[in-house]
Amino acid sequence: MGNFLETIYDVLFKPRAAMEYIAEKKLTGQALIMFTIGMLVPVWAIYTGLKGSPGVAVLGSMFALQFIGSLFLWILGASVLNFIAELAGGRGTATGLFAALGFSHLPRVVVIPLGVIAALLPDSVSGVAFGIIGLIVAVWTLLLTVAAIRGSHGLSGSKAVLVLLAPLLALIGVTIAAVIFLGSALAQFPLHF
Amino acid sequence: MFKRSVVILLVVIIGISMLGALFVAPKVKQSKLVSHDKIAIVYVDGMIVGGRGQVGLLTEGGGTDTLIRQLHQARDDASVKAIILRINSPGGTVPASQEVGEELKKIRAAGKPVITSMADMAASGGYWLAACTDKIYANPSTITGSLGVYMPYSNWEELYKKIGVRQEKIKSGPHKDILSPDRQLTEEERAIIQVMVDDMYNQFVEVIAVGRRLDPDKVRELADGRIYTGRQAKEAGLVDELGNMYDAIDGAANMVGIQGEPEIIEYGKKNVIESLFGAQDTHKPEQLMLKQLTEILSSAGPAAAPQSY
Repeated sequence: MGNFLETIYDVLFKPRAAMEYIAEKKLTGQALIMFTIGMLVPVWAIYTGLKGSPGVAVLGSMFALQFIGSLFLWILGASVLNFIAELAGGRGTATGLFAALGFSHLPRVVVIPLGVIAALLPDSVSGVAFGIIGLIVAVWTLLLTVAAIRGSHGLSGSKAVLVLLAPLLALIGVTIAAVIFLGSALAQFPLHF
Repeated sequence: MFKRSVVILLVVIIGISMLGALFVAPKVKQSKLVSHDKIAIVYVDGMIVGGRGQVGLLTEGGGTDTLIRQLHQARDDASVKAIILRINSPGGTVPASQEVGEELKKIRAAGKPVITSMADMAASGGYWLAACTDKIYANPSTITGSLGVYMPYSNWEELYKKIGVRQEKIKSGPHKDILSPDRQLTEEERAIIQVMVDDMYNQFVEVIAVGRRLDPDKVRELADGRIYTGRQAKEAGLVDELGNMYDAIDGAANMVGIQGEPEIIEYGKKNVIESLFGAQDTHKPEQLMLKQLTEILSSAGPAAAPQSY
């Protein structure tokens, strides 16, 4: 447990070195704990909002769905990013990256005090505050993901960003190609005639 | 030790925050979680034609099959308390208007009111649909009316002669190629078509008389094919209220007892994928005419396939 707390401290304040350490030691058990907490805390936040309403009944299945979906994306993300990182010249293991990526769920837990403060603000500004918090979580998570790729595969910052963006860029490229292909193919048929 | 202390402090703050969230978290309003009473808007755009209309890669649209499906969705949605039929149509075919009109009557009989809102134009077949609804709203300058039936027929005989086309047919009966564009109608055929047109007209008159609770003779007076503005139509009893779609929505909400601003659900809106790969929502008259022209000209080709009109 002591090590886990120290790892969290390092992820908060020295993310790159922490991710390097997590990947090297393949701290998958700790990553799984982090991931689970990262799933539970937002569900708690939702529960507090839904408390006393009929929507609370679906919370259990919502959590299960989110947990399974996020776990799947975590495993898939680690595999894909490891493959791309290796293509980019990185040296590391998929398990190491998997463990490091698990700690990128940390911002979801840490921002809850900010959420409570935002809830105390007047209605006119609390919406904006929640938006800003969401942005903070997104940016922080992305930064930790980049740090995880850098730390686990010893890549430069720019290469790590490229590795992270590569699946998205590939998806955009495939979509554009598909639209062009389908568009030119459909132009041969008078479907709208 | 320092690292642990910092993280433990953080854990304590998070724990307190989680407990605090129980009291300060913004409550999701109950109203967001329960199904609101809704008013559905179903759009009737362009010509009213039967079938599936234009079939795209992923979608189909424009035909009455799609329109009826949307009406059924609105009928089956328990949260939909009334349906607004937003008509912007110059008319269409009699069977297509009739089958939609019959569905509208069934929906009303099932206890769900249908209110018409006329846009730029709701003429002929568009008015047929409107007459099958509970209440009709029209803008004062909406073009409506054109109550009547006609069967178009083009005689291309002289053109065919000029371009050297002579179509021959082996017919199973004397009237099998009635309305064929390559010859003049005979008097007997004209009488046959006239009887059909009159029959359809009588059906139209009946729909208006029943739907608008008007005397059939008065309907016949109004239904000489002329067009009316929304205001003229109201004076003639063909329209109930002058107003736009939002007036119709308010009227529908009042009719079914919805308090405050009603929630609107629209049917027939296309998403990005449908816009890219789907069919068009409406039939453009010029496209239909072009299609008919292509079919007519192709029938003048040398193919030996049996022709059917």
